Amino acid sequence: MKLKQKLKEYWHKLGSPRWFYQITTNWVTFFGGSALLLLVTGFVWALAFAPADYQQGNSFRIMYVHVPAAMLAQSLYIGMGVAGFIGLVWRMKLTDVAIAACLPLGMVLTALALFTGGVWGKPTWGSWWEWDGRTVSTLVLLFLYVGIYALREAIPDADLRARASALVSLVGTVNIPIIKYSVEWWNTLHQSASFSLTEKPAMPAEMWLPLLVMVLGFYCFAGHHVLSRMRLEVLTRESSSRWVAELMLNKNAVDGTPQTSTTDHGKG
Amino acid sequence: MYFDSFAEFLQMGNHGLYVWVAYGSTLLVLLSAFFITRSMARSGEESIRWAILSRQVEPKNES
Repeated sequence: MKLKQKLKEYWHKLGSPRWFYQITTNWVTFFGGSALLLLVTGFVWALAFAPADYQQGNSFRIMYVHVPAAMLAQSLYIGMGVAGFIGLVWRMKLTDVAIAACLPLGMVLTALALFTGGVWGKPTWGSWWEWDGRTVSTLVLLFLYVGIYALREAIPDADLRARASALVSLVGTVNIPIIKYSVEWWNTLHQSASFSLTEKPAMPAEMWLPLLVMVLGFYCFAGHHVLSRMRLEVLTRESSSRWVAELMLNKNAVDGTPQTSTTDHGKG
Repeated sequence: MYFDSFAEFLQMGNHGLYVWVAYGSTLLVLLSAFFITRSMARSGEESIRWAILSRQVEPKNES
């Protein structure tokens, strides 16, 4: 009983921009610090310490940037789909902020996954691009990202923009299982997952540990990135409210005379 | 360290170009995402602060 009430309260608070802004203040710092630590460790480990693959040689090291980029690109899309669903059903304003924040990073990471895939494919498959199930479905993911981005740019009305991008995000999530199972359905060139949450990895620990560090680093980076963008958007949307005024003015002036602190910016 | 020398590390057993291009592009994406968002946040917060301040100052000037 108590728990249900608590959850309901939490759910309602989620719709409050102010509450969101306050609670994420420490999260941003945490994700940022963790990302820096994990990514620096991961880059050095993957490049210089992990052993080379006995078949692919050192080009196998590309996996350590290719896999996290592709995983995160899909996760961000799933996040947009979930946000779109919540936004359509419960009309929560914060969900559109979330979609807008996930979109650019997801788009660039999909492009990066395709690019590093090509760079890995050249020495491994002998070609930059193959019409393989997974590469094509990932290309579709990129088109979805670009499509939603263009859609958002094209619709000036905020409410309509939010609903349209929520709907496309939600519908587009059917592509995610297609990407996931593409290596099994069309058993073509792309190798199947070398890493999963449920099974013991087939590679030795000195190969998959750096991958784990990189994946965690990428996710922390995304946490920092998406939350930062959402917080800025929340501030912008709420800039006429009292709590934003108090927050922004208290940052510079503690003595309650904020006007004096701005004179050095040279605005008449 | 997996490699015996720094030259070997750079060469990556004839795959140097591919490995370094892949890592370089990843680093470029991550760094630019970070710095673009940070500068957006800074200038955005600054303009919000300006808007709030001008709202507070204006009524006094008009009276």
